[in-house]
Amino acid sequence: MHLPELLAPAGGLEKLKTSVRYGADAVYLAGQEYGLRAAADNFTPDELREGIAFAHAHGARAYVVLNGFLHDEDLVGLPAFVRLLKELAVDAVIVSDPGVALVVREHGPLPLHVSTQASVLNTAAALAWKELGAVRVVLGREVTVEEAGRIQREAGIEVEMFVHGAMCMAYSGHCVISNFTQGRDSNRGGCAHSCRFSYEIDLGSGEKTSSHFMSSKDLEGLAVLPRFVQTGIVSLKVEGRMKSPLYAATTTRVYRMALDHWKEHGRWDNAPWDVWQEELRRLPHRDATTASLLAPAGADSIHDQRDDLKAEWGMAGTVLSASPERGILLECRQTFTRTARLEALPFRGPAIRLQTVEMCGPDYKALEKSRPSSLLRLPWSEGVAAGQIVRVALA
Amino acid sequence: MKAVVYLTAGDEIAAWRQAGVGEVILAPRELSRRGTLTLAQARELARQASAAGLRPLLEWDALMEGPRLRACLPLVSEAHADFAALRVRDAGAALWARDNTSLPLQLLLEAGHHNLPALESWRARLGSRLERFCLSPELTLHTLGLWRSQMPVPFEVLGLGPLLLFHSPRALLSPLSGAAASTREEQWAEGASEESPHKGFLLSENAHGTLMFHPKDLGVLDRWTALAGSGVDVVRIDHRREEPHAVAAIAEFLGAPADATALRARWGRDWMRGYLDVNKSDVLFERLKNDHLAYSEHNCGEVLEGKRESWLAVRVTGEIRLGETLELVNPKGERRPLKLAWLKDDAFQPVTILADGQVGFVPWEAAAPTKTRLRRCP
Repeated sequence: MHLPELLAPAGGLEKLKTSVRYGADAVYLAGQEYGLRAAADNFTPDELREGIAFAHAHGARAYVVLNGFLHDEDLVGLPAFVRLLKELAVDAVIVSDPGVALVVREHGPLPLHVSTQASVLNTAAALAWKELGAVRVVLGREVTVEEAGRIQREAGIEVEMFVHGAMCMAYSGHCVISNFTQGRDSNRGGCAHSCRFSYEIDLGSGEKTSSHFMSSKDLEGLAVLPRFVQTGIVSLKVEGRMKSPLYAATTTRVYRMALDHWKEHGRWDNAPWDVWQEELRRLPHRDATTASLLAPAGADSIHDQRDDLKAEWGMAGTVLSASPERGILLECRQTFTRTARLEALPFRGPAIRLQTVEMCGPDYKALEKSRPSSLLRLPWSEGVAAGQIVRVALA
Repeated sequence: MKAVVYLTAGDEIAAWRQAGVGEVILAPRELSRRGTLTLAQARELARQASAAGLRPLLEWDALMEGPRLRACLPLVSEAHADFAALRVRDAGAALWARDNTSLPLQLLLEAGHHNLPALESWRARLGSRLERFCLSPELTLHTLGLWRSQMPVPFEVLGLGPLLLFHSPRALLSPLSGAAASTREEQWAEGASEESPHKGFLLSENAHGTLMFHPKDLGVLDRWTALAGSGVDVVRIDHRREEPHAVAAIAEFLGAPADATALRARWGRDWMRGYLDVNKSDVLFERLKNDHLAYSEHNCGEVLEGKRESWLAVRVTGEIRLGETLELVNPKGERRPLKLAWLKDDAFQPVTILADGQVGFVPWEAAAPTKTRLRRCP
């Protein structure tokens, strides 16, 4: 049975390398323009070159997003950028606008994937994009897995679906709240996340109620993996280019383990679902939903509460180097003390507990606590390697 | 420039005809995201409109997942003969209509399609069947004029009516009221943000999900002459949230469209112009980036941490050597020279070279916080 591609987010070079190291089959990333995450680090041309080369050297594919709703003036530099992507041997570009698709066809060509922003919801829409040269559609999050399989068969086009991450409550590309209330084009990267706000709602009865009625729970499709595999969905996408390297590492690692379990065993009944799910829930998260993967999302998919993400663990840092002789050199992201519980996430296998009692600075002077944006030395632990992400239990 | 309006009841036909309106939109709830008529009612009204000399347009603007689309195709097949043109949003529905009906198509491109090649793409595919582009309210008058001078297909824009901000397929109001999710009747509410100053959002839930509209209606009819001068062919007026007397007010305006003052005074909601004059909704993005930290071919490292008067920990991105002088560029753009009087590797051992990819230590320099770039002086 076909194993879906695991497609992970790469909001910057560090996150790209993290996703690839933790087992992504492919990553999606953006240049400095043309995408939907203006505030993400994104990639300079040189970083694109490095990132795409890194992905390819590790057997992963790299897709570049050009999925903003671009205006004429945005298209001026696009041909040159497309030619650069062609030169860098990017594996596909992700578009949501037929005009952008034309530019890519003319100045690439490059394989075209259609972004979820285009709200492809049915076979006819997939065929419409196929007519424009698309080889893959990222379906709207409103489509069930069963229907996605039907679209893939009937349209003869690859189907990609979101499997994990935050969700738009609106049909993607059909929300302009930021545009008309904050002067920020949500479909060119300026989304202000107004859907996460609290609103006072007057239902007409005179009684007013306060609610986060437009906020969606986060998608968690882990338990739906058997259905994805059975249906033959080509690619499973993890949302989250704006999120931390810890998120990239954890989600990629868990879904990689799950897909590899299927590859190895060919069955799911002996899969450690609870362990995988617990790992995912250690990340900062909203309540989880399968949204419309199995049936159209109902009232239980609404995250009617303040947008304070629950988290049991945070990102401690990234391992810069590790050896038995020199110990572990960690680039720290937050403050923790010698009594903190730290775990390194190996690229494969269970988490590794790190010793913090003897932590010291890069010049080997003892430290009582770490600081964000500082370097830290820890004693060597077997299995720890450069590039691994270290997490810290939050009190 | 002409006006197109909605037809919601038979008694509006005479008023629209008298006002010189040539086309009316019928919005059945099976197909239209704001539709309130049944398809049978829409067909009957379409026949009456035709008999009165008005072109009835069938609005099929709901986005539809496969099962709903499949259920709708027979309805459209059966009903389309009663209409003069089909207004369609979904890309697949548009191509289905091209291949399975003979109706002229008015393409609803209000989401995105902010560049001329996007329109060209549709024109190439729909050919002579394409009767009109219904364009985004985010386009400026300047853009509309520029495009129209190069595009032989007529343009329509929203001239007056509720401005849709958000459309979710999920039922978001019924959970608040405790009612069962709407399947037929519209449920309206009003929302006020508790985290921003915006109040008075119109909210609606129906069988197509939940819609949210701007607190003010988009109203650009006071720019009638400018719109016409830019080449816009049709303005749409949506009175469906207004009191019945709005029909007469609109008809009166259309008799002398140079002055919208009276219509504005009689309209139930305030007007806003949106982006008709200028769209600067991307100006923020420049400020999200720090140019001082941008890529430079001369970059050879990045500061990870500094210990005052002692050292800077750096991640090397291009080989650096003992004795050379580099430049530090901090996030504020301040530049300072850095003489590599010594180099140490990640174990704090002296070395003469730090290679690309290595972490190491160089002499401390003031004002070189994390993310400061090391550059080779050109």
